[in-house]
Amino acid sequence: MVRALMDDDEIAIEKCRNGEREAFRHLVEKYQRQAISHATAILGSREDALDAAQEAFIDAFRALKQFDSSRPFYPWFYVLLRNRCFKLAARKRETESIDETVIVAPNSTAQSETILALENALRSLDMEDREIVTLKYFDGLSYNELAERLQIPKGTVMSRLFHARRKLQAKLERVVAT
Amino acid sequence: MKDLSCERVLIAMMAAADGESAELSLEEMKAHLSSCEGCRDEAVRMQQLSDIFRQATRRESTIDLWPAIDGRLGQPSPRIGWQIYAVVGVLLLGYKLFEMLPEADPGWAIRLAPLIIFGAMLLVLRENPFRINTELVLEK
Repeated sequence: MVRALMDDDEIAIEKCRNGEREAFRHLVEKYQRQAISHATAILGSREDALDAAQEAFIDAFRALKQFDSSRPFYPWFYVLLRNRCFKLAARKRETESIDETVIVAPNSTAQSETILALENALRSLDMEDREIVTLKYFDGLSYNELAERLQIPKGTVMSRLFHARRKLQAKLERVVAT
Repeated sequence: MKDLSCERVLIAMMAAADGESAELSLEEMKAHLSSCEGCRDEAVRMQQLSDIFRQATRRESTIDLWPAIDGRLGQPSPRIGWQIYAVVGVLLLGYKLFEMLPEADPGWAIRLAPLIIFGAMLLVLRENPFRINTELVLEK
């Protein structure tokens, strides 16, 4: 199944390299949900995330010639996406309302107050802390996968994740205590 | 047994809870926890946070980016590669070689050529050399 999905990507990438723009649609439609979610987790804002994801897909299309087709598309694309997010974050400030969740799904099984507290605690973290925590605990990435995505050594992943969790715990203290 | 730092033990516990290989053995962690109340409390809090995450999922968007991306890809790429710099370099080098010819005596109009070439490059790149970058950049 995984192999078949990768083959679809390879075919689409090959067509894009041959100038078939429409083939890129396959990659956008397949990965846009993940991309928007990940960008939202980094930026804490859905509007900014849409901009970042769009720009990252355009970057990816233009850089496809440098992409190694033997590797999966999304981890490569993720590096472009986070670069876009950090560039965007340098120019913008968080403005989104905290009345609704943009990172955590409102229909999660936890109580709505817990969801809202988790959302607000996540949003109050630094971008890099928010990114590593959500990649680990929402996407379930292993430490090796995190190291690849974030382009840092595994030891740094562990240390950064530990400190990010600690900060998050402190923010959530009130909820956890109840 | 040598003393272990609390942070080292807690990181090892986190790794073990995440199903990763921990730097310390279970016995080492247990031994530290039995004598460190702070780490025992921290372990409970770590577990509570994990429980919260187990009940939460990432919010997904249903917005389709393709129409906007398709529209953007249809436009010519605004990126200018190395070619413009190569052309400018060759032109400036050519001018310098021409200037070095012993019998060459360019008039004042020709002497302005490097300036014109440089100005044209800025125009093509849409770059203002006198612009002061006032954007604040977050230190990472």
